[in-house]
Amino acid sequence: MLPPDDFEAIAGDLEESLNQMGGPPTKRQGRFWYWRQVASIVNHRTAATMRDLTVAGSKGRLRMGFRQDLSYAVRSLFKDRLFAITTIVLLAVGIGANVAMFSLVNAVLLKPLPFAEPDRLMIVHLLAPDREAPGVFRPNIWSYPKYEAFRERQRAFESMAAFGGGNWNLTGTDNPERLSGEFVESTYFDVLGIQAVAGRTFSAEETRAPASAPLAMLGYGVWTRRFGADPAVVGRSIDLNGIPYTIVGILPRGFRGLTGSADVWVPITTIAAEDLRNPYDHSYTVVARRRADVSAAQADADSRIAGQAVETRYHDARNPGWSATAMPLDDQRVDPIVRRSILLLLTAVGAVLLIVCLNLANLTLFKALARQREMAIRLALGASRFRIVRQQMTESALLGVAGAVAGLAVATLILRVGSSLMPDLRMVLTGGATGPGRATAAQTAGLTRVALDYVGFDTPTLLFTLLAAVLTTMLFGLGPAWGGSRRDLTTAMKASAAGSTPYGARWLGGRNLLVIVEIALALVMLTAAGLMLTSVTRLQSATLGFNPDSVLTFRVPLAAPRYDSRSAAQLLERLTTGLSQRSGVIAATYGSCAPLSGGCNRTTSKRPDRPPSDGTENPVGVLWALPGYFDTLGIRVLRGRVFTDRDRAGQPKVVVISETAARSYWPGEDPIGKRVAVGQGGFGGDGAEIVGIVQDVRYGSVETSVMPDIYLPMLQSMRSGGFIFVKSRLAPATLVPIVRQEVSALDRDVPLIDVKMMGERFGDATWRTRVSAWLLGAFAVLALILSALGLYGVMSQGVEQRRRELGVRLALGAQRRDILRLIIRRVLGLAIAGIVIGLGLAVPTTRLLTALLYQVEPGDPVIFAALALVLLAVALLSGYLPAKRATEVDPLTTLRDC
Amino acid sequence: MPHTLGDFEQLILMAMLRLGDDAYGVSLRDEIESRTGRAVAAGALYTALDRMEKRGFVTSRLGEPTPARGGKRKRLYTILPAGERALARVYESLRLMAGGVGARLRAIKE
Repeated sequence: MLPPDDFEAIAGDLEESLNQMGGPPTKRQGRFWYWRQVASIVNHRTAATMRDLTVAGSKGRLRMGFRQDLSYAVRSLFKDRLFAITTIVLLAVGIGANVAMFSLVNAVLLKPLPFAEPDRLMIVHLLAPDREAPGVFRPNIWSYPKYEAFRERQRAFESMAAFGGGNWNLTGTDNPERLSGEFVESTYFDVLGIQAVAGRTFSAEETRAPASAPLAMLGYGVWTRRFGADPAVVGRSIDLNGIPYTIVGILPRGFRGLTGSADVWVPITTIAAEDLRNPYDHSYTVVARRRADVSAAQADADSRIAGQAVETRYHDARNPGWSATAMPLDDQRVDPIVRRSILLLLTAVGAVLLIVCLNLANLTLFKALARQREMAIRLALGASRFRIVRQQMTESALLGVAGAVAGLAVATLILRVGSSLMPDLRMVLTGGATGPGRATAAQTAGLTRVALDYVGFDTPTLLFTLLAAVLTTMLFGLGPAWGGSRRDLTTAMKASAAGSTPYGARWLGGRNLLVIVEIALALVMLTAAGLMLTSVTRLQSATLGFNPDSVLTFRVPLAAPRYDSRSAAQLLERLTTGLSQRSGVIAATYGSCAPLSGGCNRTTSKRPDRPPSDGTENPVGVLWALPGYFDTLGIRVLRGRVFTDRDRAGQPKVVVISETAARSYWPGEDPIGKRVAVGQGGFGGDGAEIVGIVQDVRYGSVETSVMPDIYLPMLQSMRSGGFIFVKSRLAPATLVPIVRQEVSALDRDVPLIDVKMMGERFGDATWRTRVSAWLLGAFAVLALILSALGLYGVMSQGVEQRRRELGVRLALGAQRRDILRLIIRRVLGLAIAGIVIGLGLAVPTTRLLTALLYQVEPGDPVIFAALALVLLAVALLSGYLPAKRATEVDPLTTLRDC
Repeated sequence: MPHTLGDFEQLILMAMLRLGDDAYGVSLRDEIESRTGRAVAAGALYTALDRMEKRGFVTSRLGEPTPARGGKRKRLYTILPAGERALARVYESLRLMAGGVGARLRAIKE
């Protein structure tokens, strides 16, 4: 309704006024004031537009007719309020749910990424041969030297840039803050087509050789939040991890890099030179812009050839065949599972819209048939046929507009409630990157975040939905209106007076079909929702392997150069000891990875007791833990012992393995006392002694199966960067300040991050499945109600129409029971036809759900049968009322009236 | 047909003259409310500004964002010669007509 600039100016004015008021007495009053202003603006604007429309123009006569139609339509809708309200509510539900869902889909899946010519952007992956499966190649992230080798050889891209994610503590201010950011090459901004809004981006020299002084660029958000959007900040310096960086430029609003959460950018050469020179330090992602004359497929083919440069230069005899591959950036924006759930919900909501339209068609037909007499009178009084049809179309359009406004309100409500229900939609949609392909998953997450910044109402969507609904009402109104206006008037008026609609039969036949389709659709949705909800209940009861109750988790980033691994580990040990001595705290411990959060280290293990010729390397998850870890998290010890304070550096190396590791790698043996070599943490060589076996813990998502895990004692192998776990009787609100106090007693400059109760992590991990299931369930129930209403409408109408026939039957001696049976049989006929078609459709449809289901088969016969019965029961119930009415027909009255 | 100015439009143009370079939604509203003691409806203000812009009385451009506005830009208004002439015309006729009755008008309390 408003050009974006005007919108911005007005929204800015309102915000400024609100701030000027010195903060209204309550938040609620502030909001009230705000919306009153908005209403005033909309009101005046609409009035002005209407004035312009009615004053200007020359087609006075036609417009006159339009205004007359409009006022007539308003009056007629007001007269039949029930019809109008039902239609508007139906439209509001259909349009609202669709617009909300489409807005999400559009932002996450469809809208082009906000970069210059995004279709030419590609992500180039290193293609790594899988050590465990010869002949299988996996996309991987790059080491800098391998990237350089590739860059020299490739011809398909006009520019490319390596980048990596990082985290910094913004220090030297009152409240230290944790910032995410990216290490980038100068070409990064050129590839994406991003320019600095103040200052400049990095020069090629600055990202090629280590600069004499560290440089940084800031994101728009930090710039406004911490520096009041002051352009003079360029050239000043900020402290990141205690080191001063000179700010060279500010990046535009909304740009958070390809990781989707960056606030600060530094030249890639800020990374220690030896890390950049290490060909086996795989840490960087490569984004490239393909040349305009090269297709995506050609770019990929060229990458595979140019990637052989990596194999030539860094040949690895045990693991040959390295190369590269390029994929369009757009293909990687959403995790396939999320994409699938979103599309599923979109389909479901589309089906709801279809059912809404079918019901609307029903209603409109009903209404049009009921008005045949009115139309006949108008015709008799000399109205033109065109005028009569136009009149009815005006009514439809008016309903459509009212429905759209209501629908917009519903959509706003859904998006508002939705975003408050999911405190961090971004984290959930993008989190849980686990298992193989983590590199690409992490990057996918970033792109999803980029896209999610653009969730908002989408005008084309709104128009499309509105059009669909209005066209439905018009189309189904048009037929009867056209037909009705052609009738020879005497019959129409006489017949209508008799209370039946002899000319509507053809249209009524169509209504039965509509109801059958509705029932079929409802059943498809019910089965899909039933399967998903069953999945959810099974998920909730899945064994986690630990006890999440009253455990607080958080992280303390201990960054180099202030901390090395030894001093970091010492601080962590002192912190946990300090915390466990506070009153109300039961235990405090440290572990490198939090259950259900994913992103844990993985490596391979070997059995030194096997001959070296047996090169079997077993993949394992590797975790570091302080002695109290298992006890604090309630992880059961199955055999042997867990770590003690005596398992320190200098003592014999020990490990604890998980149940699955024991079963997979020591089948039929007792692993206790055996030795195992682990590929990380300095536990290679002749390895360490297995001292205990513990219960499996789900470190990845709840849905995936458990992997074999090995625990290393933190006191023998230092590892920071993980989680602190505090089990306590205190409420989080009391506990968190205590924790903060303990942390700042050890180091004032270290912030607490990722503070969450373990229960919340469980919620986050299952959130996706739960939300899709509940939404799907809600849509299915909606579909069920709508189709029951449809069936009810058709049956009532049918009974009404057959009054005379039923009267005759009764008069000729039919029992009321027979009448009831007659009507119920019709209901059953419609319901069963719908159910059979629905079951036929549900089998292939639910197969699409396979990836989203947990311990449920897509075609589960029990669920199918149960839901078909539910649907049948609902159908019978909605058919019973009209049938009951049919038995109450008084033969005398009906016969006399006819 | 030359447009005449409504009294609300007169107030806005006057306020614009007073404010010079810093005339935009909030400052205009504040200026009118504080000088006349009369509440200004946001909607009326913006439609009046739109209308006058269409008639060539005022022109507008987008200004700089400020933190108080959540980083949103202002739409700054400037009075055009046509607007100044129209305002001068109205003011002149008022002034001429008010000659000799000013004291009496001021004495009337609402």
